[in-house]
Amino acid sequence: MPESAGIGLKAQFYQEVLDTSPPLDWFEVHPENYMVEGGPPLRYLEAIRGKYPLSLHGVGMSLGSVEPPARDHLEHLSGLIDRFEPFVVSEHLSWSRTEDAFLADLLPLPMTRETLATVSANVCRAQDHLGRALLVENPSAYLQFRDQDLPEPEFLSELARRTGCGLLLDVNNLFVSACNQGFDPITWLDAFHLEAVEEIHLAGHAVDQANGHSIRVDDHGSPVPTGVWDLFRTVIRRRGPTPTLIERDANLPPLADLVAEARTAVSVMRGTVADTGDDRSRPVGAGAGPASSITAP
Amino acid sequence: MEQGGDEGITRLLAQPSSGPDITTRLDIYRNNIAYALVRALEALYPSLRRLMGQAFFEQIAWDFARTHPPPHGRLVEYGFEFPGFVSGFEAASGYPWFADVARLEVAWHRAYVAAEAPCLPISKLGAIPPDRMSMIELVLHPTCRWMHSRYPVSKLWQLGRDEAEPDGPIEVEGGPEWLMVIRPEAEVEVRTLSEAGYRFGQALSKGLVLGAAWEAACSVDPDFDLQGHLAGLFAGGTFTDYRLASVTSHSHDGDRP
Repeated sequence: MPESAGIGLKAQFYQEVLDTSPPLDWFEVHPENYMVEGGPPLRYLEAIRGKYPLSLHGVGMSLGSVEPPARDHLEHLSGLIDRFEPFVVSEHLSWSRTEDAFLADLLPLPMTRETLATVSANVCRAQDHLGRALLVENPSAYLQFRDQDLPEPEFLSELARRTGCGLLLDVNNLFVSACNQGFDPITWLDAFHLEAVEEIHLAGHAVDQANGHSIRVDDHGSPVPTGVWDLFRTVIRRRGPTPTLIERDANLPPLADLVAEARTAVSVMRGTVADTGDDRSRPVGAGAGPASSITAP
Repeated sequence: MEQGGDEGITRLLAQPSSGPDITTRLDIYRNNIAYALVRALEALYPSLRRLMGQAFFEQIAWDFARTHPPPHGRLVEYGFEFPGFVSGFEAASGYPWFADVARLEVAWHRAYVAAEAPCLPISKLGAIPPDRMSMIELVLHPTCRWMHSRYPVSKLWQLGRDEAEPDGPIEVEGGPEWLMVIRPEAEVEVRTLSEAGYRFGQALSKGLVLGAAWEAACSVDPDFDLQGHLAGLFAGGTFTDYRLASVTSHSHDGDRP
């Protein structure tokens, strides 16, 4: 179902989704929120899964840690996969776990050959345990390490080649990282193995001020802004229709607003075909992105 | 997660070509971690947050999270040691009931996400010969939790959960309370018990037979109404199964000759 769009399923929407069956193609959840024995959230997820396909989007595996993914985490995830039969299972190119603590954020990795070997081994371990391929997502980054053997798009492309994993392209994360670090997202896309992309994320972000400088913070707290929609169009022109998620975790609007954004994503896919459109006419790199335009097209 | 010592990290990081400096950028990650952990504790302790007030709750929650980071990536299973931390928190020492409200919220959450199980109807006891009734073990519902507090903890907890003002003032010294927290179906229920009812339930939860549990209840209330109490527990979906125990062995009645 390439030409499809879904939204993140929040607890506030459970009942309304069941009552009204909104025109969405699928839902996505963080599996970590359902790694419990029973209770209403699992009941709702089961009922909604009876009506819609589901994607599991992990935030707790810490693929970039030197330690392999925690066995109990993989077992919990495996149980959810057996029960809910998701059409994709994804994680992030980041780390969040040390030996004894989980730092609840997607922390950046040095893009070195050594890191590539570590992450590749962890992706392979996870895929072996789960018996299926993962999609790995580009995180939003506020910092870069000094040591860098290969840029992020090449790192991810090489990861996909080595492990057979698919890629999840978060267009908002790319936009945020490009603005914060001053690179051109189109150049980034040129080096990215787009054929391996099996899911796209769209979201809004905040523009914060610090010491007279602006910095974009990936807070999923506002509608998808114009600059992200523009970059999405470029991606779709190059990649063709791809399952697309509207991610919203803060300042939740009415469900209908998120459904409308998802329908816009499908319209973009229907209105465009994979060609070699002129995407260089719209630089959205650092300084050139809209200040905080949050109007959907 | 402590601040300071940035020099070591900064050496490893590329100097940004423009925009904010490295420390400001590191702070975004620090803020994200703090925000996520405090939000996880807020989700677990909604009543306590309201009773404490947002600012005080955030302060104590971050103090806890900094010193007790989650050991794994399942934040739905994080923060169960928070009540103990609250009871030892100097600035909260004037509110000794805070910790008990937190304990009740843990019991509530654990009941909320515990395994599902069908409830045993009281009619099933009809198969038991009357002279063996005192020898049955009743299996409690997997969502069932027990709690005892010196304080009127369920009233305080309710006050924090409701947006509305209470009907009248709550006498903080108006305890004690004995509670059962259970989710026989979708809704978690917090039930107030007598001390005898609490002892009775605790005895059953420890695997004692009905007769022994009755004795435990009678030790604090010689007039304990066994039949009425049991009927109420069954009506509330408290049990999932029973076993007919012999004097020497505990085995399921189906296994008996």
